Amino acid sequence: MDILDSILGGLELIADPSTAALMVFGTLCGIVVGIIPGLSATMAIALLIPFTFTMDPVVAMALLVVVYVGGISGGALTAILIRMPGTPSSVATVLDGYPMTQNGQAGKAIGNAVVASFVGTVVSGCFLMAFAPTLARFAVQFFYSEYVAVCLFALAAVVSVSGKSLLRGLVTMTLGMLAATFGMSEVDGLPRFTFGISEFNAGFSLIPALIGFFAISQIMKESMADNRDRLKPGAMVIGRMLPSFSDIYSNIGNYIRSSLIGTLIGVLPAMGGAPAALISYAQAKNASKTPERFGKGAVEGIIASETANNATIGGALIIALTLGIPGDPATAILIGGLMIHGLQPGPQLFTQTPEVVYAIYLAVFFGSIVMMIAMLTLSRYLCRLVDLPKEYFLPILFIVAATGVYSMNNRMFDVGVMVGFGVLGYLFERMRYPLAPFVLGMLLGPIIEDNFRRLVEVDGHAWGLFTRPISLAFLIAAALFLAFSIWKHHQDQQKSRDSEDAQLETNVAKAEKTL
Amino acid sequence: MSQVNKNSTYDRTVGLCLLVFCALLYWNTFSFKTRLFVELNTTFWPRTILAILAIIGLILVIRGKLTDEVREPISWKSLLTAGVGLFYVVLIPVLGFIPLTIVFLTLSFSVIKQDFSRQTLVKGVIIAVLATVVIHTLFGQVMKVQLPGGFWE
Repeated sequence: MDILDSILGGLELIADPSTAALMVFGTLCGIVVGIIPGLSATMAIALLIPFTFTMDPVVAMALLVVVYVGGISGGALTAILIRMPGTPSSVATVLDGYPMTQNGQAGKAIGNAVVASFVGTVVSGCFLMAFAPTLARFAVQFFYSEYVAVCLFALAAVVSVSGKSLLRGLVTMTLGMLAATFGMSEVDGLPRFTFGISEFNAGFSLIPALIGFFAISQIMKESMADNRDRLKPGAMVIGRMLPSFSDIYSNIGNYIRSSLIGTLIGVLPAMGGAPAALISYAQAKNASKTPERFGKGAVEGIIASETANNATIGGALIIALTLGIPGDPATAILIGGLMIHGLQPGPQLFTQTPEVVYAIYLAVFFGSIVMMIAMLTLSRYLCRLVDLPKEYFLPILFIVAATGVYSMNNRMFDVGVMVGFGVLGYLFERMRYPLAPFVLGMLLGPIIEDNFRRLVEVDGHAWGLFTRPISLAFLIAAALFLAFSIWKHHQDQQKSRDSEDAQLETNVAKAEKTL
Repeated sequence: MSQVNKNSTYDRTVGLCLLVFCALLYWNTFSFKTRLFVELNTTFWPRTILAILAIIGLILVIRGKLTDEVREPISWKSLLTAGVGLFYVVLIPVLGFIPLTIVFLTLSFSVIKQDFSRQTLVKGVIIAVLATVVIHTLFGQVMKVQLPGGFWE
């Protein structure tokens, strides 16, 4: 009965005309940001958070979730039309989407991508509804040692997937944890790294840091990017967009497989949509009867990519809501949004404020329906957004971000933090140091410290980490994750050395022959 | 060739910077206030992180280059954009939101477009005024945020 009440409560709020209108607006905003190359769903959520300060937490979270759904989906449009993924998660959509546009089948490609995005979101939303409450009930058993172990597992997972170098992931993760130690210590209320400056007492607030990291660094990058060679979608003929029944029917297996892959990858901390789409694309190609058509305009490729990248939404939300661990940077910002409204992600969210949880569930479904309708009917017009003059919207976005951050606490210091983190994010990206581990380090560092210190305070030692079964299981999983990634890293390096040697031998042979 | 050499040393430079950074922050931890009779005091966690970071820094210095990926060049113009943004943050309490935002936006439009012609400036001023009014109304009137008014307020 309680669950039914909560669902009805959430439904009642979303059915309210003003909230529904706000959510339609949010989905459209997400799609628009997703379409514009260089702007991402993460950036859209980050920029929108300040506007939610005065809202009811339920409405605020629903709004942020629909922006997330719209942002992930919108990227497909430019990936198909101009070979430029609007968001990184649509990177695999380019492979078959653009060839279809060249073959005069842009409408068919867009229609299938939109339906795939819808299916991926809805299926992962069902997984979210089914598994999040169970995981939350399981997490109620967590004590200090379990929280430390889960966070260590999340950090091990994120470092393992941080690009070609584990060490670079470790550097940014540790720096994130260090950044979180500035200001008052939560355990004993004593200042750290304040350098005698009173503004540092509150430390680096999460939202200014995240907005800087994901929005300002992107503005910096885009402001000087040369887009003169970018293709123009203006004159393209899109044609009929509604996918045929045979396209949908013949891909049912593809939809299910890609949804599962996307949801599972979404659960892994900081993996995100792009790897999910690429892995799902590769699996679809392996399973296809006509793999030779992949890369030349195969609908299966688009469906695999778009279903999987959208399915990461539900997966990422499962661990974000139940354990407070973000599945990707966008959910990290969503967690920040929850905290701003005084809500702590974790099992207590399900027991104390279930209406927020159900509003998030419903927002996933609502957002996906609005996204599908909007993209199937408005894509012809939406694709023209690519031509928006960046010289005008980038500085305006900076002002919106700065004013939004200022409005949090009426402190210019926060705006300075935002710019500082923007520069840091920009430098990390340029030097190929991954951003996601930094964010996770900043979010999870304080949880590890608080729980570890309390564990030692209560028990007098930290053996609880190894003697409690759940905690031990997570520590073993973390160790296995790291060991596997170190092994894989060595294998990749060996392969690369072997191919370099083979290349060298061929060159030497060629040179000898010439002589 | 010089590009390759540059790329092979930047991980080492990062490592060196980390070592110096860690040393300075570690030294700062001695100024932390601590509580008596606790198992782990305030300095425990920051020092642990700094020790891990220093070890990573040392490995970076020794190995020099982690991967053969080509680093994307750092654009000084992009850093200048951030510098101008920081300048905006410093000046806004003095000059106020409305005038400074209009000036900032107008100049940014021209700098990014790399066009300082009269026509672009006039168009920029019009868009800047409109954008400033919309943002001020949204935050100041709708969300009731007290935006900095500057020294004349």
